[in-house]
Amino acid sequence: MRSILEDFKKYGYFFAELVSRDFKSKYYKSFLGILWTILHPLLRMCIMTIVFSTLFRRNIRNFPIYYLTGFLVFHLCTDASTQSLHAVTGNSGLILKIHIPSYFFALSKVALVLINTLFSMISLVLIMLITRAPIHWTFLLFPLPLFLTLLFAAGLSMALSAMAVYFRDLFHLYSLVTLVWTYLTPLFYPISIIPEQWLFLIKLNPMYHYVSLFRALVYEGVLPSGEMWLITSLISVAVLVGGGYIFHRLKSNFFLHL
Amino acid sequence: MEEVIRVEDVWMLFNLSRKREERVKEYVIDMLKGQLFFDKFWALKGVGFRLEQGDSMGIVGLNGSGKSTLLKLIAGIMEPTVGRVYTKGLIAPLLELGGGFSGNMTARENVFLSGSMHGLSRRHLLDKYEEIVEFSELGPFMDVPVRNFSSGMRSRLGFALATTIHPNILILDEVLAVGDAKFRSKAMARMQGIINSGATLLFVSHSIDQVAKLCNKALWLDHGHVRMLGSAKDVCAKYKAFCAQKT
Repeated sequence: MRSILEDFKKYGYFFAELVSRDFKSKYYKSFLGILWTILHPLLRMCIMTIVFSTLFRRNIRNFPIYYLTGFLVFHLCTDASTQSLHAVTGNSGLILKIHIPSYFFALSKVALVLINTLFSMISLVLIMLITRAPIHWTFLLFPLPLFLTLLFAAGLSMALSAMAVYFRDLFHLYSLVTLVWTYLTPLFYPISIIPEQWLFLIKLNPMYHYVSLFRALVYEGVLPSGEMWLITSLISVAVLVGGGYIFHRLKSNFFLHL
Repeated sequence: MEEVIRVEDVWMLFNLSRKREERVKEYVIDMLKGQLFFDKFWALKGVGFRLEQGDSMGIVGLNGSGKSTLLKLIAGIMEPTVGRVYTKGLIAPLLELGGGFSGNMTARENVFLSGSMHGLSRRHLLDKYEEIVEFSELGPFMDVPVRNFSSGMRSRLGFALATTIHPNILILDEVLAVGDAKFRSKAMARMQGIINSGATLLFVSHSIDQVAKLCNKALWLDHGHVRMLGSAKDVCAKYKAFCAQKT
């Protein structure tokens, strides 16, 4: 624990440089550049609204906001973890040449995706204003669920980035996992369409809880119950610690496989 | 004098798998068959030495004798299988020409990214920036992406960066092989200056003359064993005789 703090003290500037490098290279030579962080969720929302909104017209009020709130949280986690698959393997040149805390590469991807998500919040607010959705005071609490999702994503990303070093197949496997995950999370359908006996499956999915938390604050304007806060906090801390531990165990043999 | 590097009876084992079992499926199949065998390869076998502040040690040996592995252990990139490596202070490892530069970024951005990897702050790097540019003689090219650099330019930038940040330990692995004679002599002078200022130098080179000129100690590695450890003059003479005899 103390060594993590020391890492951040000594290499904090390195972390910032790393995030800025990834940010620059992500929009390198792209015409719209950073505008994509706002456009991408908007376009996605448009597609989903056209495809699904009539289907769930009766169950979902204001489909665009329902979808965006879910997507924002879900994408924060899956985008970070997908990108982190390449975090260690893609930086093998650096990791084999110089002593640096290699988990920073995974965390920098998470930080990058967080920045994207914060930009996406702009598009959410935009759509809320356009659709005249009520903005509740609970909206102001939105950083809390995002923070909890972030911890979850960080743990998952560290574990995946380390495992990807040993099993390169993970790249191909994980895109399928996220596909299934998308359907198992009520992003574009209401939870009410799930039959009672399968509800437990949805509730085993951690993303369901983060999405619910965020939607309660932003979409419904109600304060989530203490139980919900407790569940999400526990998952976040457990995954963060677990992911960090997995990374720590696997990193000692990185140099044999990179 | 203060001890800066201590290497205690270090052994380094590599598992050379005959197949590259990097796929989940193959790994599981091989595991079930009980065929997860590896060829064991000891890259270092009981290497030990200690260096004090101001020492400069050359490491010589044929290809595959464990020189680079030893440097990586000292740089903290790998951990030894057996034994202990102890170092003190800021280490600037230059293990490969232009290693650690990102092609799409400009030379200027790379200076800051690479510098930050050594744990330096932005302010510190801003102070040193002019000096780095001047020494590397790359002034007009600092805003060019590094992927457009020649190998000589990359090595000049890497060398300038690693030597300007005043490391306590400077590790150089064959970095002077590229670069013209003019830059090489300039680099030799710079390294001499670093040694005189009290830093510790570890130097791998196939040029025995460079080792003899620059170093006060030398280590001769032979298939992971320490063949000889002593003053640079003695070791270089013996090694030179050994190489002449072989050919």
